[in-house]
Amino acid sequence: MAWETRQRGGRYYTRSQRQGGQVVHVYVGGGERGEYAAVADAIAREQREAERAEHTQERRQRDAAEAQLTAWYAVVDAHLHQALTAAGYHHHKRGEWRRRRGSSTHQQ
Amino acid sequence: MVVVPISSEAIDEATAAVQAPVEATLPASWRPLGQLTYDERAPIFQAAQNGDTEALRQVLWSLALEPERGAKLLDVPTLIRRNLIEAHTDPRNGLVRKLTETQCEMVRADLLASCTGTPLERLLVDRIVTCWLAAYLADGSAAVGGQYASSSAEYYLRRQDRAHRRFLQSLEALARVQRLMRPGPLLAMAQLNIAHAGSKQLNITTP
Repeated sequence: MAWETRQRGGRYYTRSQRQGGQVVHVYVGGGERGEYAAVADAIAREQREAERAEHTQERRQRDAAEAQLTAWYAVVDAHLHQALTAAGYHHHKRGEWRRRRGSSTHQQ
Repeated sequence: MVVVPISSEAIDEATAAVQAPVEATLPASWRPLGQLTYDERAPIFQAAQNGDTEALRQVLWSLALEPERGAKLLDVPTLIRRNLIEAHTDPRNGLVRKLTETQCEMVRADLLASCTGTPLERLLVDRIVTCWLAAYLADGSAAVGGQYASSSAEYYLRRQDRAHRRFLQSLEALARVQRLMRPGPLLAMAQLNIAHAGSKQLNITTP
């Protein structure tokens, strides 16, 4: 969106729009009509920017919460691994857990 | 939440202040942390983490008064669940937040009812509940995220995928532990009869 000055004189407000993959300038008008469109566009732009900032903040907060979960998830996995190992199991080829030979007790 | 390590001197100082018989000097505005709302409590915790001796003194005073409640407030899975709920819900909508927390407690109670209650099982149940919550919230975000640009929609779908994978893996871990830790036939037998002294014949009755 911008004000343009034509050769004949006078300022005209235009909007840039994408049409079929190309950016085209759409003539809006000069005078009061142009002023009104410029103000409306500025308000819409501010709203979009505020929404974008809010969205970014939301994402950041969600990522932080997920990071906490990921870290704790790994801690629980480590506890699980230790508990099963102590109970006489071993992780067979990174797949199922199997009881170690000679270990016959079931305890935690 | 950014966790800032508190110096041991500050903790010693605050602990000494709490342990000293100076109840009359406690500020009148202090209330046990369990009686405060999350919004009232959070800045106190934050200040204590930042090394504010007065805030730390209040936290330790409250923990000394109500150790069980204090342990719950500092419970890691509960804190993670609360942060997830806060990150995904409107801060003005206290009802949705409370209902989601209650729903988590219900899922937790259901799962614990099917367990023998060992510490490992309780830990895995807490993980399931937390992962269930993350998946539940990620489903909601992905549904809403579809309205954004394709890169954002992809981001939400990837997060939803991760959340579901973690939830399924946590369920699988509990099932595996319950299967492996279940008493084997030798421990589960109800009766063992030896035919006669010195005999090699064993009669085993299993329940």
